[in-house]
Amino acid sequence: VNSNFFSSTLFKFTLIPTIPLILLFIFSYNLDTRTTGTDHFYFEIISVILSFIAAYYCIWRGYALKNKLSLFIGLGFHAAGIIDLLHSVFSIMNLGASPFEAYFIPQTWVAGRILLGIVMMIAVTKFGNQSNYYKTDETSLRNTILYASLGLASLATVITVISLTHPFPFVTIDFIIKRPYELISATIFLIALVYFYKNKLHYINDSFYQAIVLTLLINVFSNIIISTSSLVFDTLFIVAHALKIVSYFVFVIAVSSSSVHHYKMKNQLAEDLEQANEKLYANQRKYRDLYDLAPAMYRTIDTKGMILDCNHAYADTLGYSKAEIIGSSIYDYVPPDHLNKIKDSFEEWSTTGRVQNREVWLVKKNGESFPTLLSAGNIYDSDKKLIGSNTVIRDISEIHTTKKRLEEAYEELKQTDIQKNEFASMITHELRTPLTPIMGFSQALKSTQLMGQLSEKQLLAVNKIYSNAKKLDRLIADILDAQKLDLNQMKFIMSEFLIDKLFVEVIQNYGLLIKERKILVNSYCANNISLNSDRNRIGQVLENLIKNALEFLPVENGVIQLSAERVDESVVISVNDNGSGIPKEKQKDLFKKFYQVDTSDTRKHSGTGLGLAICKGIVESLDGQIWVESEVDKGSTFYIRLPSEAKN
Amino acid sequence: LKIFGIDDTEDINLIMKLIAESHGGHDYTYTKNPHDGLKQIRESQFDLVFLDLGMPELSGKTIVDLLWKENILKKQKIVLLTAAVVPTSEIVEMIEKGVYDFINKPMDIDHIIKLIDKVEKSLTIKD
Repeated sequence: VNSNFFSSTLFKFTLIPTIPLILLFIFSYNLDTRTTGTDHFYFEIISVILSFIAAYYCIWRGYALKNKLSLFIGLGFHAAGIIDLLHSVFSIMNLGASPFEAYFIPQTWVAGRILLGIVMMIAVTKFGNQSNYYKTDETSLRNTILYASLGLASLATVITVISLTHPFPFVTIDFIIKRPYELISATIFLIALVYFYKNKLHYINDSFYQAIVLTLLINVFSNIIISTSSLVFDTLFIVAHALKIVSYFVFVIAVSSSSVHHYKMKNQLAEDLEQANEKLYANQRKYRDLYDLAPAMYRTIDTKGMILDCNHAYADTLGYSKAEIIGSSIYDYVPPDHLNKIKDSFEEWSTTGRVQNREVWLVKKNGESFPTLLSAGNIYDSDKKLIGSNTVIRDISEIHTTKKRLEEAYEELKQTDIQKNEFASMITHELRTPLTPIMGFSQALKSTQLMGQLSEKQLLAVNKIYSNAKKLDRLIADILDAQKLDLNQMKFIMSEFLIDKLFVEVIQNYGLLIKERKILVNSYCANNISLNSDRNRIGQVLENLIKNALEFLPVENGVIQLSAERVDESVVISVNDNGSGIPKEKQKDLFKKFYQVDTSDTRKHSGTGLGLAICKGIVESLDGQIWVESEVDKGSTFYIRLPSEAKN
Repeated sequence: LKIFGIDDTEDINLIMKLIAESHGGHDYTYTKNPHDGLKQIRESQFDLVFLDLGMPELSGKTIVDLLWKENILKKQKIVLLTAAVVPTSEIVEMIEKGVYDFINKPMDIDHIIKLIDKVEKSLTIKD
């Protein structure tokens, strides 16, 4: 504290008056000027006026700032001023004619000094605590004024009466200290000064507090000075009076400066507040606009379901005015048949605080009801208790209508799909029924045992009938397979089998054709590669791929290669041909149903376009993949990759 | 063998009759009317019956069910013929009830011949 004190501004403030005061004290001691009672009266009147001014300033400042210290000092100055007035009146009335009356004049001076000293001491000890400076409320302030006024009035009266009733002898001694009572008041001021520092009031950056220090300091000096003065109006007497006036003057100036400072601060604060308010208002406007002009419906409700506010969209959509809506219940906008659901929903919200994207039906003023999605935006009080909600409501009529239409369309599609499947079943049945006698009779005709020997020409014709009927049967089977794959209804029978054996069987099925067209068929497969899959269906896939290859092989030197190899956990089977190949841009569509590479009327190759689609369907159903690598005029290779072990 | 056929398609009956009679000279009678067919199965004793699954009014499946309920399904060997796609579960169910075989149309004549031979053989062994 000490080291801080010597570098503080307060130290300088204390130093500046101290030096001239000490000099003044030294010089005045050697001056020999006389004054009269009238001079004294003027001195006192000036000091009375100044003390009243200081008093009112302090009271006003104390009241405005709720500063009890300032208030109390003000009241103290007031009381001291009255005693000083009494003192000056006594002195001008020339009461000093008799020794008894002469006693009043110096005693009332001492009474004023002692009162002011006590006031200062109480002020800095009792009200010096700066912490109660802001919390003071109006009542406490009024009480302080009341009690302080009463107390000070009593104190002033007591002190004055004591000084007038002459209980203590008026002492003048032939010593440096000629008036010991004055030294007592100097001591009281000194104690107040000590308490001022002890309570660390010098840390308060306010000229009011610096004025207190100066006043106390000057009063200590002036009282020491006057205590060395003799009864007559000597120089020291005048200097003491002058110092008293100076101390009051300093106080008035400082309090004025403090007040001006506070006033400026107040203005600055007011300005800041205004700016902050403007910002706040702008912000509020922004959010108000967000709420009011939002395309979604907003309503603000309390926990009882009363609508406190709503936006334009809400009022407009429901067809009411805002005034009609505010204060009404949320249940006023719910169609009767949805009331229970809303009540449950509201109950849920008020207990859990959670309602998000709940489908809720509302009813307009014209009776039309419509679906909405409602989300609560909870509002909590400072204790985090739920007190309401800014609820956002979105009209989903359009979505609802679209959804309904989609559902209808979906139903219709489902019906169509069922009809389509029924039709496919029916048509295959109806196709197979006439095919049965065609195939049966042509087969019977071919058989010498059943129908006798046919001529070579007849046999050729019957063979053609039979093979074409067989093609038709195959086609029907393909259509059925494609349908089954579509509906995910194809059943697979899993078994462990060797691939090289399957190759042999598949090639055998085409034996006659291969011989006729002089096609070279090679197969490469290690004899131990096995698969756990549906043997018949894999055979069907391979047959389809070979049939496909046969279609596109060149007339001469056609080669088909089958191979299989193990790759990691799977087996890759490939069917390679040296046929016409498939252009790159057509490869990706190759496995689509009914797709033909060449769709022109003059196309060379026939087919339904189901074969590869069925292959893909089967392979993928067996957790495998199928793809093609091909180059035009060089040939194609179809690959299928299947897991060695079935998953299930 | 005494073979009986029930199929609403005349031509299918004819080809079956041709096969049965030309191969081994079996006795083959048939009807297009399923009600009549059911009546004949109940009344007469056939060795083998070829029954079409999909017929109007009374389907082969219903006939099988009725015979099964009457406990006369196994009196003769019944082979079901169908041109429609029948779910595997249904085939299994009927085989379990006592249907002798299940053949998809259009059938291979050689298959029919083998089947007749097999039935003939089994009956001979029994005798």
